[in-house]
Amino acid sequence: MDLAGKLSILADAAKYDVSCSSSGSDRASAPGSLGSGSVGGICHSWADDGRCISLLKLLLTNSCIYDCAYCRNRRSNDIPRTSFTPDEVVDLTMQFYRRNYIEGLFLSSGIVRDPDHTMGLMLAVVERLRVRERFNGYIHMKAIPGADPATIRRAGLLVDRMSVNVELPTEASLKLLAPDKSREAIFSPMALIGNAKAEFLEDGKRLRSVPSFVPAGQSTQLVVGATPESDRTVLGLASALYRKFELKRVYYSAYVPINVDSRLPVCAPPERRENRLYQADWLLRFYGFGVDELFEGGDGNLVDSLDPKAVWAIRHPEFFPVEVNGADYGVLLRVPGIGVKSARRIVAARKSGRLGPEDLSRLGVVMKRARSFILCSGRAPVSLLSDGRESRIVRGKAGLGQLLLPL
Amino acid sequence: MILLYEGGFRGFLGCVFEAFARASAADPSARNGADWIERLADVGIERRDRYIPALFAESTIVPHNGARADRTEAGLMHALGREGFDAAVKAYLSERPGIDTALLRFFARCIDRGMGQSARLEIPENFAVFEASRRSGIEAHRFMGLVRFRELEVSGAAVYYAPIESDCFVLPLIARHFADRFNDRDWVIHDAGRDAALVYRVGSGVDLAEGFSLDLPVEGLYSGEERLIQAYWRRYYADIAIDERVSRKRLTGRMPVKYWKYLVERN
Ligand code: SF4
Repeated sequence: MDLAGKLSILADAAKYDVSCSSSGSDRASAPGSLGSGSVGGICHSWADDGRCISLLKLLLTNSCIYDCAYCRNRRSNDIPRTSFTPDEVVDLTMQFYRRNYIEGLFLSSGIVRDPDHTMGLMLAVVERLRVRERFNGYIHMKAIPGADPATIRRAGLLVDRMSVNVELPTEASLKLLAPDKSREAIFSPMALIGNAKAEFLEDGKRLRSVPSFVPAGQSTQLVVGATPESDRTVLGLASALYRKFELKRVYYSAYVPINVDSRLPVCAPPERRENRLYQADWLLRFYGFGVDELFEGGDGNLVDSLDPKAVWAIRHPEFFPVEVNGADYGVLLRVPGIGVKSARRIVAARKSGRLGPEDLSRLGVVMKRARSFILCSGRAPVSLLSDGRESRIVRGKAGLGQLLLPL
Repeated sequence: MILLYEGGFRGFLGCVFEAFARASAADPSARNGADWIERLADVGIERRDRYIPALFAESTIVPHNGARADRTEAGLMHALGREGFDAAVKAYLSERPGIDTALLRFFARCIDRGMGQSARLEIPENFAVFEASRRSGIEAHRFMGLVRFRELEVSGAAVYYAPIESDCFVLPLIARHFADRFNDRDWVIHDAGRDAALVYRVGSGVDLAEGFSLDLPVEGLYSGEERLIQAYWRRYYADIAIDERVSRKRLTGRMPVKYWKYLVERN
């Protein structure tokens, strides 16, 4: 098969992995070598489905010895199989990167022969890129459960991010749909990566020039909607993963029906479910919410029609209104329309005087949403919408802090 | 009075100097450094080729003067601080209608009342400057991704060439990023709408060239591999979308059609 044919098959096979982020690594450029990282990440294009294209996402091969029910590449599917040679991937990556098509490479693979052999092939790609080609761009690599820990450690020193996909939220679901995988096998490389990263960070404090180990951290992906687990179960697992393995991100991927299989649902879950999970995930990580709080009084699933923060606020009338001139940071964060940035600004700004509704707009509070949940010096804010001023001020909130406030 | 300049940012700075100089001359008794807001209220600045003469408006051309531009830059840097000055440059690069005059008012206010004033976005010129600099910043960041190099062969050597068209003049804002990242080959990023280009040469760094144009179609200069690599990229682009989720609305919302012209994957 020619390279174009392989590319079609192996890009197509990789596209269901949702993680695309190229952020978190500030790999510095070096004279005479190609590439650099960008802490904020850069999108290079957007595909027809509207998703950002940042990394060249490829499978090394779509052959696989496993038989996961939800996966197109499973052993029992009759599809054309092909694989790249390591040099083909290296070449495509270099050529694309040079033309600024991409931020780097996302490399995954079906399992050929055994996990360690597979990981070895992937490692060969990464080694050639970093060492032979002196490639300095972003690399995200899948760690294959069951591979030799030494191989995983070697890879960790070369890539920016590693991930092990948990895929299914419970052991029972794994047994049912991915009989060749086990939780144990998935979690042990996660623990290994987490520990190695911590070790290297620790050494980095004492010694100079310790290489960095997966500087952009590790992430994982959970498929939702293929199995009956509730949002509560999914988020409970996510929050445990954040805590235990210090994951940078958990990605939620709404199940896409590809195979006909009696163990699988026929329909995809509503796309909204993915969104609500991301919103809830955000609340867990940055807003001090606990998983249980998000599901009080509910049926274990997030409410479809409202974002989870608004839902919590509505279920807790006793918590409001919140006095913006006195409430603690953590309390401010609970108010719909107040985000992490605006809460911080409120705390800083009120040191030099009492804040009124207009000040709040300027600090980035979305007054339309916050209005009914707050007091300013004991008084409920009056609507400003009538004279059109509010919407203008709110539009300017985004970069105010970075651009003009520090002056 | 509308002050007109030719050329770029330094011409603009010359007009800023002229505005302050005229105001002092007109009213020498006023204390220096106060009430600029009022004294400059009737002065505007505009680039000459963008100026559309209005009824009753007087205008004059301010000739280029390097020494004055330098003094103005130093003065503004002192008054606004590095970050404030950078924000002003970014706003200038937005090339939005009226931004030159808004900047003059913004400077006047900062000098009169201190930089704390710049955060008051209910003041129209502050908002204009803030909004304009934000726009430039956003567009520059977009182009860090949207630039597409073509590999050309020019008298036996490889040169990477990327044409762009942008609303804001982003070249100065993306120069450093590209010079860091692609430092082992020569390259050109050509702002085709403005006939300006960033030109990078290994060993001598990056230059901003004005009046840059190509007289022959670049396709004729493509290296042997270029077409093939472009074909790979188009194929990858087509295959990576999830068919079940195709959405023109989401696509154009995130990558507006105006940016498609030079994107290999959309042509
Ligand atoms: S291990 Fe399972 S999910 Fe991964 S490629 Fe093989 S069949 Fe697909």
